[in-house]
Amino acid sequence: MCKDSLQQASKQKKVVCEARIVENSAVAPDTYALILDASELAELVQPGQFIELNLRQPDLVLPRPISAYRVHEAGEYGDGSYGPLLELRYQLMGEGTRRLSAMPAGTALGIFGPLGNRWPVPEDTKSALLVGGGIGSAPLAMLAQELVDAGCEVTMVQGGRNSDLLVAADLFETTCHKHALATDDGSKGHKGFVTGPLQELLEDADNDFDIAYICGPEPMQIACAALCEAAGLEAYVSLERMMACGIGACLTCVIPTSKGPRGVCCHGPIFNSKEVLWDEAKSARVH
Amino acid sequence: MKQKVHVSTKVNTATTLGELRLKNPLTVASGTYGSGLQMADFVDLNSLGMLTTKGVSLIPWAGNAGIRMKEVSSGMLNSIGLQNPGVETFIEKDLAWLRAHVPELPVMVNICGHSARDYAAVIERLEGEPGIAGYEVNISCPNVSEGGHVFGATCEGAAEVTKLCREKTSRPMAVKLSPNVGNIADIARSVEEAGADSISLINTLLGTAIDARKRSFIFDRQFAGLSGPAIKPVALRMVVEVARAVKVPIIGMGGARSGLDVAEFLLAGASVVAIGTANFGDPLAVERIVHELEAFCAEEGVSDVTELIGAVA
Repeated sequence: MCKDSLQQASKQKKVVCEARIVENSAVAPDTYALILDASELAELVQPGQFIELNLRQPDLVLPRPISAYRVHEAGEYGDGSYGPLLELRYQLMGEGTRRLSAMPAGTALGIFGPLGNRWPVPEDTKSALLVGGGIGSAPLAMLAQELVDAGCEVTMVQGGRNSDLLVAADLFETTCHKHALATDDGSKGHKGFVTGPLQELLEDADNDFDIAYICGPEPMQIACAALCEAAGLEAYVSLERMMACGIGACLTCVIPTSKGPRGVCCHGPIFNSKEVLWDEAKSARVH
Repeated sequence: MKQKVHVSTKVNTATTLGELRLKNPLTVASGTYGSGLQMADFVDLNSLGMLTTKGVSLIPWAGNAGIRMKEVSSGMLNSIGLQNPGVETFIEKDLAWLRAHVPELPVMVNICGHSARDYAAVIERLEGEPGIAGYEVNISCPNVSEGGHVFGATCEGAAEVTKLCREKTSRPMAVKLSPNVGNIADIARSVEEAGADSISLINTLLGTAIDARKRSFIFDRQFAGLSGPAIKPVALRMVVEVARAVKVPIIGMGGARSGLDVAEFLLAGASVVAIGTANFGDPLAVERIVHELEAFCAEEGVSDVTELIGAVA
């Protein structure tokens, strides 16, 4: 079926610009929806890619890398007066995201991107399995939509600490053909980790997945990738590391892979799970 | 008293670094811009007066394990460890790309090594290659165990590396100094005497970060290099000290992020100023800063940026 593979993103046009905040609102505890008036970037960004946000705070010297959540087509948002808008979802993690969360609509930020590679979708993909944990579900949203639009059967397994933290569950419920949930406290779906429903789906002989896409906390990604690999399913993960430039210049976010050291920003953030040397990569985990 | 003139004053931004002629006094701090090509999707590299590459060693270096960077107030700590693919790959990929795409841009190749011979060997390998304006010998990286800062810490060590490298090249050669020393002016004099054509300073200030809850160091190597606006006052002071001690031109750096900052470094005695950490927040930082510097000069009635060099009263 559709679209580009890993390589194509690197030849993509890049944009450095100023973007105004159209909306910046809490959608769940410590979780925000940030909608930016950045039409050129919105038209370029591919599922799984991220952008760097310069918050313009004199004492915070680094930009914040955040994955794309969705694109609102021209006229789709609010009173219809906007061109294409880019929406991100972010969680309060530290001083940068705390300050970002206090910024009202109209605030101008510096942004650049799109950065990194995209979720790869092989030509003959007919059935895809998406696995999201916490805020890690957000970078899967554009992919789910793209796959569904391309006629692919999409199953989403989503986990969170509690029902409030099943990020964008409504959107996945509407978009995907199947939607399984797990919460640590059992407030919604399976009680326990996302690996529970994932295992069941993988064991169900009616399912014939071609590929799996995983995003969430690293231990969750490792566990889910192991289950997929054991079931003979190719799995792609989206990694996170402390990052400075976001474009492959500073070598801050490098992880060990079977192909040698690779930049999460420029070779990733998406990797084939079998290529990541998880044990060696462990000491540089963000959280 | 200087006369304030209208902002339309034509400002000549061209400058020299020894025998090198640069169209403006801006370069980038080694390690913040890759070898240039990584930035080329975002920025016109020809906006730089000169490009300074990421450090290049004789053989590939893997860099450091563990967390490599932590942002701190007005700066960042890094512990990259000079990861690079080695001089052969650099020549094949990076240098070839630069020659093909930005043939007019002066390229200063930053050199690193574990021993004095290592440094000299990298230069020897690069000597036959066209498209290199000069070398910047990094004797000041705090993030590697051997080489790097070991040489930059003493006058003898600094002179030894400089001398060996000098023997291998007649191209312009800068030596990059560490601020983590007792008397930087002494080191600068040693390096000048041993044949450096210019002096770069400062490399990062040695710092650390501790996770109080885990009671552990953030970085595997415990200590890391501090850069960004937090170190600007120290960098300016050291540029002044070195400018008073040597005759060779200076490439000044340390936290500059605006045209005004660059003017301060020029006044302190730098002929060229490198932008480092500021590149991360904005790939177009250098382009913006050149314009800001021009505007500053126009406002101050400075028709030629070189008038600012060392002009602090």
